[in-house]
Amino acid sequence: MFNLNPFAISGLLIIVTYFPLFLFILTKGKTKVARIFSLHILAVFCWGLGAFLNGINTNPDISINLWKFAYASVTLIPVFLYHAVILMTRRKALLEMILIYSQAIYFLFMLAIDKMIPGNYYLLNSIYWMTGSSLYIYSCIAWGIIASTAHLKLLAYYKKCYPKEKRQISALIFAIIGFVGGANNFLPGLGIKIYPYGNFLVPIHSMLVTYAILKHQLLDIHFVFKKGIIYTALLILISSIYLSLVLGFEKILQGHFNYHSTLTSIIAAFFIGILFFPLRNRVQALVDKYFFKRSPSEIAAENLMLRREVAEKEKFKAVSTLASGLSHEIKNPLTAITTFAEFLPDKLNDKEFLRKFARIVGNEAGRINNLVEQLNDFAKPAAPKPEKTNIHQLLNDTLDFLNSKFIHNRVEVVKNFIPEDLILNVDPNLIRQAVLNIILNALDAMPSGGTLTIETKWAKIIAPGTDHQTDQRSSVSKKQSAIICVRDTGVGINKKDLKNIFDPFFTKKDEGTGLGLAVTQGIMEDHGGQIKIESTVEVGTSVILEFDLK
Amino acid sequence: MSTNSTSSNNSNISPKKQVLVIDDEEGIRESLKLILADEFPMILTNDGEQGLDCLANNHQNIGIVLLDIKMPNDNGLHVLEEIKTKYPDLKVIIITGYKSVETANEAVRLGAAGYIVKPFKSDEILATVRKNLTENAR
Repeated sequence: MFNLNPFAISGLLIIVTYFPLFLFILTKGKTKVARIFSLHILAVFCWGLGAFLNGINTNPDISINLWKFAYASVTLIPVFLYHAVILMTRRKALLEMILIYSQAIYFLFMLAIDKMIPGNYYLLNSIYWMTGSSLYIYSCIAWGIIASTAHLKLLAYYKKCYPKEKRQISALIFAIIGFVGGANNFLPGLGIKIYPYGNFLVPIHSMLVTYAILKHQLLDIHFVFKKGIIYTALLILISSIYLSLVLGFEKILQGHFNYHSTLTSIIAAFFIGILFFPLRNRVQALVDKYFFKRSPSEIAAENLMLRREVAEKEKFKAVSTLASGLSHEIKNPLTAITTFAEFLPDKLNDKEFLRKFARIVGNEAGRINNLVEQLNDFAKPAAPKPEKTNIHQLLNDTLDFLNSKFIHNRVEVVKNFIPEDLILNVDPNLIRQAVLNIILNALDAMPSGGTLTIETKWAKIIAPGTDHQTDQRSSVSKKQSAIICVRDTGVGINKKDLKNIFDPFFTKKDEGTGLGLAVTQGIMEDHGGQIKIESTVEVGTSVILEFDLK
Repeated sequence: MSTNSTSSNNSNISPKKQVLVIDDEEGIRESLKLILADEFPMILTNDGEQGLDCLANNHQNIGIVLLDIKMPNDNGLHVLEEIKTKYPDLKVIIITGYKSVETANEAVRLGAAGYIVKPFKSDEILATVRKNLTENAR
């Protein structure tokens, strides 16, 4: 009938931990080593299944076949591990592999023809256990040698590998505890009558492997998991262990003391439950610590890194736009140079041609150089470097780069600059990026064309928190701020969206990153300035960049 | 505006028909002159306004217009529209560095006879101008 003894429970634990792990590696692992490792995990799962079935089996006649299945799985466990270790450590070991697989095939064959497990016996009045032949002893020795060698190879590789691999492999080395526990199962087959409690150590191996995969991307498996998934998995695992312990405790009471009481079982379950409650919290805290939680300085460092990544991403987008503009701008001088070069051999004696050649080709080559220099300056990943910058020049250059886009989008550009030069102490590359972001947004807001107005003006600050008095003619020497205003006649932004407009990743565009205005705001803050947006739906949007001159 | 009145030796092409270039880039104007001036009389202009003035005074002698799209003060497509409104039979070839299907379609819709992308080849320019002026002469 049904005999749920501790050995069967340990088998059940192996089943519930290894089967999901096998499926996980099989579906997520893309490399050859992952595929071989999944076979190793499958072999352990099959052992667990065999152990469970043997544990609950009360029929001595079918015991032999169940043991054959279980022992076949056991034979293959270190073989696939060894193969995976060879692949992991990038070693060529053809001869070793042939030997390892050959011995496995030999022992499996001998197992199939009943040369390995000739019979069984009832171990400690609990389980029908196999009795091993002399060949069984050799197979145990081979098993131990292969498993130990695989771990020694891992240890040798650990000493010389990269830090990331070190973290992955250390978990696998510690997982040897599962092998030590599993090796305990060989003893009853050799006639040593001890209960195979070591089988409970086997699932530790699966937990360490799972940890190495999730935390350190063992087998190159990258899995982004959510807290909820981990907590649910933990809850299932802890509940399984809890259930196993309750059942095991009940069986021990019944088996060893022949004591039957439902009340005792309930009380036992209650106390085990009390013990498990803090354990669950403790395990959850550990998961938090190792997978999710960061110290404040780590969070700050991570945020800084993310901000830099975001800024670089936006900059790359801006550089791409500029590069596209550059490729267009470069075509004019390139056309002139190639045409003049083509005619040069036929006109070597034409003095007028040679004069034009020298002038036009020289000028056009200089233009190309200037264009490339501009892009190069912009692409440099440098810290903000304020310098005296002619803002009108910067705006004109940026608009020139985008000319082809204006034509394509049927956008008319109106410049309304103050008559004198507007010189500000800013980082020209950052301000160009800010302006570019704003203009690109304006273009997106005018899919059917429109008018883009770029304006510069002075603003006199009347009082904090109030509006400005703008004056295009007043002198710079007053306590003022300088304003660049970009106005479009696009679709506009509704009031609800206007509140979130500077939030990173806020976007209404299908292909937008939602980072453009967040980055622009960051640039303005770095310059001690500010950005304001005024918008009316179906009328248009004005973006105001204000630089305090104090 | 500069003119070059070199006459053509090609018997299929009317010697009076001129090539009008409208492009703000001196390098491009001079390049087109280098390619075409031995075969066709040419008028070089810097922008749409000059080009349209030239056409207003002399359109019966102009056989083809080579027009840039991107100019500082003009959108070449607007100039094209105006030319085709006033002189519907005049051939206009767009020469641009802006390679875009939409712009090409727009140019054709507005009546452009051709669309050449910079950097162009001299053979391509010569063949296009010859073909269009020959068709005009028939």
